[in-house]
Amino acid sequence: MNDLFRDELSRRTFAERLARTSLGLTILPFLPGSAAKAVEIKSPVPAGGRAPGFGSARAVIMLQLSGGMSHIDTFDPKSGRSKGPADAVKTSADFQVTSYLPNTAKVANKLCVIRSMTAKVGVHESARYLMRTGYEKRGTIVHPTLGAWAQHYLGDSHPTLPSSVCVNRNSNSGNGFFPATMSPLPILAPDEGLRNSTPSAEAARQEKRLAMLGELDAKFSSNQKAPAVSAYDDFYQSTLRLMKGKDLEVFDLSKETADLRTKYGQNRFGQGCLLARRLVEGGVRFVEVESGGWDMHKDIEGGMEDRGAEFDTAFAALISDLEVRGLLDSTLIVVATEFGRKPQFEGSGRGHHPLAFTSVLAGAGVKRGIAYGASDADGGRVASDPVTVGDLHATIGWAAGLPIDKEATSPSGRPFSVGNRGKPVSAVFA
Amino acid sequence: MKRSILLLTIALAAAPIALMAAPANKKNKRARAAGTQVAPVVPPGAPMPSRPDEWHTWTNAAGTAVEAKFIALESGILTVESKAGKSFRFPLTMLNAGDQQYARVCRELLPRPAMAQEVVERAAARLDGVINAGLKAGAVAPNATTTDAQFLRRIYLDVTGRIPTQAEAENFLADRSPDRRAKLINALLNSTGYTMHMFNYLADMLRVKDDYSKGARSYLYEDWLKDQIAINRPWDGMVRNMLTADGGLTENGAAGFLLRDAQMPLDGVSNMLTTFLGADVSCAQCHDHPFAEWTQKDFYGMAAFFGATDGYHEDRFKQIRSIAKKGLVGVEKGQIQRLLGSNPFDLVDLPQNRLRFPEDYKYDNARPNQPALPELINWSSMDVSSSISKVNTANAAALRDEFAKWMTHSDNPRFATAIANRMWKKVFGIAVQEPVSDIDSPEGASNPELLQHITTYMRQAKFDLREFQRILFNTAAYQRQSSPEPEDFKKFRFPGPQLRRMTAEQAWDSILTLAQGPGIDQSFLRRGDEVRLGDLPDGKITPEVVKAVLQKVRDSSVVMSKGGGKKNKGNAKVNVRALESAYEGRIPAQRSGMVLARASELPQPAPESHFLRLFGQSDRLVADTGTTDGSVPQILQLMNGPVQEISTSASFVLAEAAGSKDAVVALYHAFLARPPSSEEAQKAAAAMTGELSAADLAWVLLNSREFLFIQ
Repeated sequence: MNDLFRDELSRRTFAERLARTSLGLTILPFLPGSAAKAVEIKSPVPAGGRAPGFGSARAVIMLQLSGGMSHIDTFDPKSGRSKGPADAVKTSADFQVTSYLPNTAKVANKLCVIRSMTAKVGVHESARYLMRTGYEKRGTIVHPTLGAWAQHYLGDSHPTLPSSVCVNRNSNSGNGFFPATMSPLPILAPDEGLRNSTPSAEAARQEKRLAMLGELDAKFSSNQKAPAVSAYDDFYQSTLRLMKGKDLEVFDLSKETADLRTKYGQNRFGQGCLLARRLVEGGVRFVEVESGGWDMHKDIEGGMEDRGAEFDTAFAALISDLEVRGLLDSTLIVVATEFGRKPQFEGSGRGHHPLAFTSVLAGAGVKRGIAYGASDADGGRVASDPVTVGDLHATIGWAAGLPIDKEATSPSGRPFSVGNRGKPVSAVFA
Repeated sequence: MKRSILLLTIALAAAPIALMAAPANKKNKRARAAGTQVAPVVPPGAPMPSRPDEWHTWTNAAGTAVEAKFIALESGILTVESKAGKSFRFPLTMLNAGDQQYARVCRELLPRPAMAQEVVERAAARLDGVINAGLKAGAVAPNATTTDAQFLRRIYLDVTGRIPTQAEAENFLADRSPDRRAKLINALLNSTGYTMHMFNYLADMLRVKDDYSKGARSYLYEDWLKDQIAINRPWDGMVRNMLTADGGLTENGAAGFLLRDAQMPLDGVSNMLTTFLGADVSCAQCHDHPFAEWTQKDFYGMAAFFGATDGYHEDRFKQIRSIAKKGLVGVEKGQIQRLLGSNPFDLVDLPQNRLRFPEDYKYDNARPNQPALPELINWSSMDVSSSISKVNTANAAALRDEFAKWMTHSDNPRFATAIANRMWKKVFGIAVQEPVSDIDSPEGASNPELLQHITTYMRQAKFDLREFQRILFNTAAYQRQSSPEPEDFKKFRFPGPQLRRMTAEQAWDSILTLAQGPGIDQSFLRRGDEVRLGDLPDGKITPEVVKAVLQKVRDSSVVMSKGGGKKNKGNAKVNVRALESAYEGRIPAQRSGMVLARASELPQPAPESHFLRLFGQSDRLVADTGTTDGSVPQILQLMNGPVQEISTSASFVLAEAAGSKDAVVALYHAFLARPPSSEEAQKAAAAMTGELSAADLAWVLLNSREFLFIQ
């Protein structure tokens, strides 16, 4: 059944496209029997030109600030009546951020801030769903997250490790209508690493058990020629490989120096970001890290000093760490949130505001040190270059080298695509 | 707005018989006075029914009366249904002597509970004839008949949702009587495990979940569903009840179905049509279906039958929230929302259908924003002229009653086929027509004649799902060895059932059987009282009203759950103390932070990192999305996680094996429902003379592929 949804053909032609991206847009697929047919990539880039950014991200780290990050109090500071408690400060780039983000200000020359995000949904659950999947929530289908889309088109990112992981949150059926093998592996506590990965018996006993299992179960497995059974044989093999090999270490934060762990911040989000770096380094393609507590209806000041500082520390550390390791050019970092917050204060906080908000991109072929798009003077409306959540998804998909124009069919026979036909923002790619 | 049902419910807490004063007509909501008119006690020896479903005035010892018809009498609990389509359950002993006798006669007059074995076998043989013809046409050989051991394990899992215990396995394998299989089928169909397993199936199909939104809980609905299965309520009556129910989450269990989608009614209609009729309309909700013939106009025509129905009351939500925000002296923070949050969900019918076409409607057959009129869909021109299609749409408040009558009618062109096809898939692993959500073209079935036959049997069984399944379990085809997953589901000809991995629920319930023994079938989670107590009266919700209800809650013996959904987020642990008081029967044990109760008797759905979810339990957002795909975290769970711990140390299965004369044989019976082959026995015995123990063999068997699959 699974294979029904995994389009082998598209994967192969796609892998080839990826390999030849730099050579131009038209390639000849080397499939037997269809050698003469050229496949053209539909692209928003004029034919004959390069496809900037396409396939530049070998990995994606998506930081989800859950609750709705106030754009005005972070990356899109305003003067005048909507100004928040913090002042705007200079950064290493041409744009300003608020003084809540001192560390981020230092790495701003590596960031691309999109100040013209816009959406219609102002309810947490639905907006979070939209930001994770690029689709509006429906009761009749579950849409895949970007990690699942990537696994669908590109295959597994590593022979043993999962292709996508979500840190500090559950998967919530992140595979959508794709098979469960594409669901992100949840790591709920970064410090604990992968759950149940410690053998239940000491090594010698474990070996004997496994030997007995092999002997006693062989007959059933060989008698049943069912793919479902052999799939389980494979999962046992993968699990044993994972448990025995070095791969498990990518989940283990104790392998990091105390200094670096402190640099990321000794909190769930900070350690989650560090874990994300380890995972990406190890071969995981898509990592989502969640930070809760951004729903600042009250006390923006306290909230930003608390959540905001955690974010600032971890985000800046992540960018620098990736850069030092030479991973920034192949890793796309995305700061995402459900919506922004209102220009007007309601007491000491701000209400939900989907009409204008901010996302941040960094790494992997994205221009460095720019602000793309703008909100108006109050921060209430988009003033130029609006970017929808679907556009953002298409942009990430584009960077990850996904065929965003292609449709995949759900088991119920309905067609869907990465970013719901959003347009990639090609101007952000260098 | 909230009528007599509410008053009845409150009265129920004080004196259950007050229920009997249910109004005869649900649209006549001011019928409260009826309860005050004491009807004369029916003297013993009064006329007895000639048919079980006659309208009858039931009277209790105190003389309160209600007009209703008999539905079921099981385990001393009588279920009746009022003309309003509401069902009521109470102990038979509450009635006067004459009515107690009347109820017993009704039960005897029922064509159910069981068809005669010979009728079942004749029907099964007819189906076998059709299957065999299909096999012949496709030049496919039927699989060999199962061994008793294979049949035993499969039938336990398929009917009761768990593996047999060592003792249950040995009993059956020792039985040499020729009708041993039929006897086992009958015994299992009447067990509590059947209800639990069937609930899991329906919960996946109907997207049953505890939490509707901020503090709104569907507990009464879940209890109601379990009761319907337990009393073996026919499917048509059950669905009709769900579609016509009035009242709130705090009052009427059946209302929970429509209230599930009260905040997104169009999605609800789409799911309803797909689930109950196999009409693939989900695309047509937003635009004309790209391949099938359904248009967006068709969809709105159907949705209009629910256009006068209102389920979610924002004003009540805001009133509760504002009181919760301000807080009340002596009331714990968050408690108000938690205890009263179900109140905004309440089904009422307005005098007018308010559904309109969308603002961006783009077809010529209607204008954007134009009122949408109720209109039934049809699959053929014959449907249009059929007498059941003549619905009365004059009274907006009765629209969904009319719709329900049409949809659940035995002559509806798809209703019987849809559920028959689904039950077939439940039993055989693959439906006669795949997918079950799209049977618009029955001629596309793998064996169209088979689809016709099972439709006929579903009608003849009068939508009795237990009897229908009894027929399927008795077919030779079901009792053959399994086939691997076919490449094309649509061409499967049923040489035997499909080889399947256990569902998440079957795996969990089977592991619990190993850990705890068959006692797990006797713990029943029933949380309805909790929501019922939080029911607020009609009218404006003031702090005084809230205080009074909270006082009532405190005075009651019902222990409230601590909520804590957020805090528990991601935690596989189910808050035991919160649940404990909600269990009837045996209080489930807890180990390794898990409540050892069956999947149906745990929160719906289980928390995301729970074993159940890891093994593919649906998150209940979309219908039929439970999966049996594998994953690395699953294997980690089985090899190293708490489930191996509960089955390999201090477990029921090891205690039972320790008391047997051969531990290897005992463990094979317990895990795989078969004796070991001589080779297996030798190997296991050899390994166990070394350092390995019975517990290690248990670990090995738990981790074997054979354990996880149903042959």
